[in-house]
Amino acid sequence: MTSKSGAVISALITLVLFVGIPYLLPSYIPADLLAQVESSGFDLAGFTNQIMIIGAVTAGLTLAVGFVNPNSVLSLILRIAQAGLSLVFIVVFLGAGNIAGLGYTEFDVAMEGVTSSIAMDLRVFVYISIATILLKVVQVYLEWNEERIEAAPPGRIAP
Amino acid sequence: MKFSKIIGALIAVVQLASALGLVIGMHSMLGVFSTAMSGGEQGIEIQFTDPVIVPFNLAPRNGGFVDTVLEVRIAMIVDGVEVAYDTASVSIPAGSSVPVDLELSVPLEDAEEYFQEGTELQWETDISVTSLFDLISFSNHMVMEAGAE
Repeated sequence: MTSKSGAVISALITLVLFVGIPYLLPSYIPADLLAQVESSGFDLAGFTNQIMIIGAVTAGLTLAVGFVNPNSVLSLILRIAQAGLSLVFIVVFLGAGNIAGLGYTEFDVAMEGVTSSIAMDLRVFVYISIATILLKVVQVYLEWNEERIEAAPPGRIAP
Repeated sequence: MKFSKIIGALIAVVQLASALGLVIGMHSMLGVFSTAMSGGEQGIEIQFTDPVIVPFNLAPRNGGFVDTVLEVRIAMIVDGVEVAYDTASVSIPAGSSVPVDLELSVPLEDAEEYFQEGTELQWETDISVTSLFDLISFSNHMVMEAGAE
């Protein structure tokens, strides 16, 4: 399988998982559960929109990486952008759509004489993700450099 | 072996452990929280003795794989002033249940005043569950008007 066809397949899978499923998901949630979710102050539509935007951009980047010269600087930039976008996805996912919370989410619910403030702290996973994405950037750079050296004509050191 | 491959393997291990930790931690944490909340929905049977005792019995169960710590604070608010409260903090090992019994004690004379019509009586509860070696937490601050379900 060539890198181009691999990129097309990966981009399609990304589109199905992160655009198709979030798009269809609200229609499969029972109406009473959907009403309960909305009354909790959770912006489900906003959350799915964010996931779909990230999914579409990731699919585009995946496609672009497969079609550019793997030894070019553009390829390196695209692969680092992919890594960065995966961090954005994790932050959005763990923060239930609130990027600024960095994994800390708060909801206020008020109904029938009861007011409730719910807070969930998952920041540790965002910190771990930041560390792994930084490592990923290093890995991407090393791989790109190794590929460049291997692609250089014998006897020549890649610039 | 290339250094980039070693980093790749390290990233995969960390990401896998992180995902596993998230699932296991959330399972324990939300399980304890939901069982603690269901215990509180059984209704309050006020004991009209002197002092008047308002008991709250929770039976949180940790059906997960990691220990959790549950902190509960219950308070009685009359006309915006906190008149009684009780707190408890328990560690719930994985796979076990620990009963949490709280009670608010109010002098009979004051209670008669608080429970009469025209006073604004509220119950305030703070439930906090931490799990995965205190790395993740879930908390709920709830204010309930007397008579609300």
